[in-house]
Amino acid sequence: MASKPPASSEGESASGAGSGPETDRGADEPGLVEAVQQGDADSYSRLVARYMDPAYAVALSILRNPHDAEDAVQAAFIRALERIGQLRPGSRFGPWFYRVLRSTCLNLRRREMLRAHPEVPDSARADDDPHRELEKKRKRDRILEALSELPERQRTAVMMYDLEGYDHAEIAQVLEIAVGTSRANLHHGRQALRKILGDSE
Amino acid sequence: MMRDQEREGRSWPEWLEPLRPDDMTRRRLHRAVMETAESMLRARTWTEVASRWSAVLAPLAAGLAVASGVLAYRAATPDAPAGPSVVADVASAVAPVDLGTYLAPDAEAPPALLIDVVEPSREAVLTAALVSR
Repeated sequence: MASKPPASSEGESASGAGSGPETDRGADEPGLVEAVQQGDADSYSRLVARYMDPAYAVALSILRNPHDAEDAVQAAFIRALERIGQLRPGSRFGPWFYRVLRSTCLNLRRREMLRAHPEVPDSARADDDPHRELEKKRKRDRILEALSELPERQRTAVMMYDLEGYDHAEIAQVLEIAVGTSRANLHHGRQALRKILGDSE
Repeated sequence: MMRDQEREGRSWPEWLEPLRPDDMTRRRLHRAVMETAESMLRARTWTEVASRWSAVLAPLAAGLAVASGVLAYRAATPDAPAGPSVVADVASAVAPVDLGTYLAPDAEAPPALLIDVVEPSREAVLTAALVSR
């Protein structure tokens, strides 16, 4: 499958993209968190399944290595469970978990920089067709490269909105910027990505 | 599929598809996380049960320890005055009680001469007054 560049206005209408679905998505999280705090493993399994894909993508975008990304995601979920008692009643799991994940990735990256071991090729780990794996790796590297070329504020907006699932109000709150600024950063970030990815095709 | 059931709300952007883990990776990660998580949650449950019981039993244990300590002390010193009965005796006595015998029964008695407070006779007082002039 070809990785299409992001459409400039995809999913973000003037009425505030994602605010409806986002609210729905997080609605049952306080209940799940509370159940996990009481020791319910099934609830944690649901949270893990829900955040697995974006967590992996965030880890990959920071570490740029699937093997390290897997290690980081696994460690972050375990760390989050160890500290889940710190979450106040009514809190959402996601924003807090991404903080745990980021710090886990950064710690891992520091360690890996000291150790500097080569990336294990996907074809050596997966049973899939090596050609398909190679193609997938090429696309992945292209996106990671394109993301790294974005200015910091645009990259943050794209990562938080598209990967981590924050809405603009949440991004504005976390980064202490206006909601309109968050929208503009996302819009320009996606435009730049489209240009970079389009040029490289 | 798990991800379709669980990823609610905004759909995954198509252009980010290459960053998404494949099914095998996703299953492997999920299983690895949940194996550790389940054992952690089991251990945590046991710890919580134990700490809850210890919180209930701690005051009882402390009370028992104090009671057995008092009993052991009494058994070791049979001549020791019984604390509560002293209080009862003193409280219920009609006439003034010499606390010294209760509080320090083994103490040496003071010399009788020093504390002899016999009231002097009227004559003796007058005689002493005359002599002092």
